[in-house]
Order: sequence, then C-alpha cells, then structure tokens
Amino acid sequence: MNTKSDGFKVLVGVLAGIAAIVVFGLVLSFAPELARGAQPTPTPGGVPVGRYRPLPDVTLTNQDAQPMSFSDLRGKPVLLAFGYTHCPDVCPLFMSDMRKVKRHLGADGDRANFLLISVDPKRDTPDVLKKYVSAFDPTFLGATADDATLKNVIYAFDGIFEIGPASPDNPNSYPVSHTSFTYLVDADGRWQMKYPFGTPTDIIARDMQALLSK
Amino acid sequence: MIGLIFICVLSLVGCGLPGNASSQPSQIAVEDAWARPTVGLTNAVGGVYLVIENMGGPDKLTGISGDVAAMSSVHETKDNNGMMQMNEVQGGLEIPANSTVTLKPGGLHIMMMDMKQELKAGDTFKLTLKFQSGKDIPVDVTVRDE
Repeated sequence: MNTKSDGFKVLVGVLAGIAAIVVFGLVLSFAPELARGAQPTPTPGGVPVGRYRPLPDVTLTNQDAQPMSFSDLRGKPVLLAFGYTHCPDVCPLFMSDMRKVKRHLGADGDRANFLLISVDPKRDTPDVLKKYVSAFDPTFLGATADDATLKNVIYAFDGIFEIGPASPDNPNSYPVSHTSFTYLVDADGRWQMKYPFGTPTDIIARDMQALLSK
Repeated sequence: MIGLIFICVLSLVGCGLPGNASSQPSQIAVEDAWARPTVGLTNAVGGVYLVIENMGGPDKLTGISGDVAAMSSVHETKDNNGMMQMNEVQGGLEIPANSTVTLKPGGLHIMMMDMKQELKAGDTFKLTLKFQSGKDIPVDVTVRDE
C-alpha cells in the first residue's frame, strides 16, 4: 500500500468535500433571491383582530382633566395610538397621520374620535395633553392614567410600553418605548383593526368609513 | 500565472493607497435643515432634521448648541417589530468618509430639550454643529409643517 498517495487522496477528498459544502451553503443563502427575482414592496394594510376583544373597564383622565372610560367613547368609532409629548420625531407623525385620516373622511370626520393615550403621565398632564392634541386638531382627544391602568389598557391591545434611561445630565429627558401600531375601535367599543406604523392613511380612512356606514 | 497573481495583488494594494480615507481631513457640508413647529408647551421638545455631506475623511458629530434650547443631542427612532424605540446616539454620530448622513422623520434626528422659545412655521433659528475634528459648522434651520 502506498500510504503517501493514499493520504494525498484522502486530503483531496476532504478538501473537495469542504469546498462542496461551502458552495452548497452559498447557493442556499442566495437561492431564494435568485428564485424569486425582484420583489415589490408590499403595501401595509390593517390587521383585523380575529375575535371579539373587549376593552378593559378602566378610567383614564382626559385632556380636560375629566374621567374618561372606553364606554364613554361608544357611539363613534375611535382611532387611537399610544405616544407621549416629549417625543419630537415620531409621535407628531402619528398625530399628523390621524389628522390626514380625518381629512380623508371629509364631512364624516366629526363622526369619529381620534385619541392619543400618553404612556408618560409624569410629564403629560391634562393641560400639556390638551395643548398638544388640539394643535393637530381641536377635536382630538388625549388621555392618560397611572402606570397600572396604562399597562392594563396597552396589554388589552397586545402592546407594551417601557420608560427608557434619561441622559445623565438631564433626568427629565427619558424616552418611552411603546407599541407602534394604531388601533381602530368600533362604535360599540370593540377593537377591530390594528395598523402598522406607516400604513397609508387612505387605507385607515376606508376602514373607518366602512364602520361609519353600518 | 505568477504574473497574473502579482498584478492582482498590486491592484488591490493600489486601491488602498491613494486617498487612504482615514488619514484625510473631513469636508463637511450641512444642508436642508428644518424643524417641526413646537406646540406651545412649557418644557417642550423640538426635532431638527438635516443632511450632512462629507467629501473627506471620517468625522463624528459630537455636539450641538444653539440659543433656542438648553440642550440638544442626536437621537434615533427605530420601529423594532411593532415597538417604537427612541434612544440617544451615544458617543457622537459617526460621519464616515465620503458619505452622506441624513437625519429625517422616523429615523435619526436632533432632539432639542428645554426649549426657550416656541417654534412656529416660518421661523428660522441657528444651531452650531460641533465635530470631533474640531470643526464648528453654523446651520440655519427653517421651521415648517410637514
């Protein structure tokens, strides 16, 4: 037996095997793209809530410092989102999207409610909330509650919120992370749809119009 | 064969040599600076967006100063699978060599805290952007509604 040449054959075999695995792996990782070709960006739309989801029977405080519960809002569909006023970038986007939805509804705009629930009761007092929401539209609503109630409410929408760390030199600068969806509740107080952030406002308005036509 | 390898190696090295970006000074220009109107709150926060173009070596935005707010820093918004997160960009904002860094709604932005005045659509104000290289770049910001 010529061990040198056998050894050499084994080495070549092993190297070839490794090379084959590497090539196979590369093909696998690129194959889906190769097979699919260019993909169009899907337009996000609403996600329907599959089954009846009741809203918690809790009391929030609204922008007029008055108690407000979800049953108080019955009679009109509500489009709501979670956010806070010390958020200069994306929370104004939520609010201006709500304003666009209301505009799409035209004359029916006043037959719906638009609500910002603040996840930052410490800084967002009723007075602050009122100035903030009414700057976008005088009919917009704002509400907040203590932490425990807020958790109850946000969990009912399958969401969460979390207070983040402040800048070391400014303890009042903390950010608050929160669910990025917008939620549609019908006039009977049932949660119907949720919309990923950035959903075109005409899609949301179309769904609200359907609720208003019932 | 050896000659071919030699040429390949030379061209790879050659690519690296001239304009070795990391040793060059940065050349920064700031454009399209705009801010949202604030909503007349005491202790309000403001958001500023702009475009930083760098035609030179790498740099870092390490500070922002201005008269309209007590403090400003760069923050980033991220939608992490349905969870909106907003965090300060720690240690300064990297401006890589030969790059454009865009601060725009839903992403990077300058957050101004403890505003000293209200901002209404049409107002303009000045900020100074400070870079690690020592550059202080004055910026004129226009307030506009989206």
